[in-house]
Amino acid sequence: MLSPIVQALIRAGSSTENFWKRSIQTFWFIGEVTSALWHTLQNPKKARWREILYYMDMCGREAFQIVSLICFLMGLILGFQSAVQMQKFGASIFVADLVGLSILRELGPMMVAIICAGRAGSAFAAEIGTMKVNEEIDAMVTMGINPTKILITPKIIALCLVMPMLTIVGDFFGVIGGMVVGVVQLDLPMQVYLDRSALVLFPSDVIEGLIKCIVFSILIGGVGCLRGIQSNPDAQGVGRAATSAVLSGIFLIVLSDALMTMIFTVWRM
Amino acid sequence: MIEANKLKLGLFVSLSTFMLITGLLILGLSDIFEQKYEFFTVFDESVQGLEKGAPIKYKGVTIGQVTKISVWKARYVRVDMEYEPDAVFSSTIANKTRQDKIMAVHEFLQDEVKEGLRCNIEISSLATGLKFIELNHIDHSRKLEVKVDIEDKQGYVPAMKSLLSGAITNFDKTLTNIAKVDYEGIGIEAKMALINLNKILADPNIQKVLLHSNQMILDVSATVKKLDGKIDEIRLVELQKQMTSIMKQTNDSLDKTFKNINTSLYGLTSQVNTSVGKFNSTMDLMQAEVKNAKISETTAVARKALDKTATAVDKVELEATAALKQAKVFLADLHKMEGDIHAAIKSVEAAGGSMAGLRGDFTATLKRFKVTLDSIKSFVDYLEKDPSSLIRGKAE
Repeated sequence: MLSPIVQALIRAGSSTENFWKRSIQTFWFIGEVTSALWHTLQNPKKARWREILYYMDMCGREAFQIVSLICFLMGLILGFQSAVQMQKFGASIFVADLVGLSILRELGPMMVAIICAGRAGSAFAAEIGTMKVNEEIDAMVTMGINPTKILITPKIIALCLVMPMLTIVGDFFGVIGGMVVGVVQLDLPMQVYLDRSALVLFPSDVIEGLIKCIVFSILIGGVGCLRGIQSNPDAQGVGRAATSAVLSGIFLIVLSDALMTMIFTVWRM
Repeated sequence: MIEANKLKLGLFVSLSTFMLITGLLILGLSDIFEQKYEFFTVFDESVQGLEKGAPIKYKGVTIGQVTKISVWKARYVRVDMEYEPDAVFSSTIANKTRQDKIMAVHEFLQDEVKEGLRCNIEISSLATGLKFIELNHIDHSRKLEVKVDIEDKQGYVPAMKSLLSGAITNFDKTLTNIAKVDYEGIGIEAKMALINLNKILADPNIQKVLLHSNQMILDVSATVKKLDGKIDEIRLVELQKQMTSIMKQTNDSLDKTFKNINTSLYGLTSQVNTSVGKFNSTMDLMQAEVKNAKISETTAVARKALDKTATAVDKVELEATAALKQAKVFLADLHKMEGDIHAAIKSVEAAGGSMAGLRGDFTATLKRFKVTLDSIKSFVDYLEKDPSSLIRGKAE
């Protein structure tokens, strides 16, 4: 029977070894994905477009409704909350500024990314985890097929292509949500609200949001696939991988958004 | 089999692409392709609230935006701006080339600057503190233009000092001037003045005057109350007329009395002079008789008696002269009083028209005048009866 101190030391050593292995695996994964993406960009014809289109359809088109609804409600809530405060100061028209800038720069990309992390990230992790359970990935490796190019690259490319589109849709419905509040609650003419939005919003705001969502898409796709590869080869392991993919994805989205917001703020100045 | 729903995916991609392009165009992507004219201005005051991208308005119409804000020559702020020529005169230069458009805008700006076109910082919103630049024509006589030496005036539109900053400057000057006031000295002087005032007020004479005034006011109030109850407007007017006639009569009688006094005093003076002359002549006669008598023994006694008599006579003469002087002074005073009384009567007559509002005060004043005049009248009557009382005093 080992003493508690020795057991604790063994656990610490095991955790450190495990962390080290996972870190090595993560860096290996980043390298693999970067290499595969670079190869695909260099040889677009060799990209697996069938899979890419499939994942675009799955992650993008199927998320259209939920993204539209969530962003519309987000704009509505944001507009309503700001209207209550701004009405006190007679600054109702500035609801357009607040909603427009918040949706285009921050909330639009972020909400779309969170929805995608919930839908696509978990789906990717579950799919790859299940293939791992079925030893399909081992079979691919045995047959000399690079699983990264076949399984991961199409997913990430699909997300990179489809998430900006979803962000545009989300931005549009978010601004519409704010406008509904402006027109219905604040009695602002629709034209005035739209003119104000056009006045204060610039293409750079849209581009800023699109850049963010491309970064988010790489993170969501990458972490979803990584958690699938790292999953234990059993049913519970797949479930845990899916859950971990969503949580890690959201954490990375928020973290990267904070960093990018700081960078863009400095850049604007 | 992995297969996408290509129709739906195509619709989704088309829709989102359309949204992206439309949105970017609405938000001003088309501005990238617009031909713009760059110009600048220089301010000598803070441009706090003016941001890059702030609108440029010409008579309230947005025609461009601020592109750059920078410190210039260490003490000025240079604001670079741009505007689309089409936004200003879209109809006249629509078919011109880019170079022609810029030349047209340049000429337009030069002409307008000569006409008084100036840049001015205006507040866009008090809530946010944001500002914008307004291009507007100003009155040259106001002399609010920012004076700056610009070497290259290509695209330079002079700036105008903002009214707000002018107001703040004036307010600041006012505050500075107020701060220069020696409040401490004023306070000390005010304190000294109050101390002196307290001393004056503490004077027994002032206290007496105040007491008498108070009493007088009380009396007047009581009289007015009585009069208010008893005298109506008509009676008051009648009373005023009666008083005026009485005063006129009194004045006439005073004139007569003064004349009589003058005559009496003149007679008295001449009588006194005559008596003194007779007395002197008698004394001369007596001296002559004494000389003629040649009584040496009685001479010393007589001289003594004569000296005493002469001294007495001199004394009487001096006293009579003093009495005459006093009588003349008194007459002069009486003449002065006569003038005052005339003036008072005239002012009373003039004030008679506005008696309605000042009924109480006027009534009291008239009563006091009447009492005064009665006193003078009785005094004059007494003098008329006995003018010599001026010399001898009042008979017991």
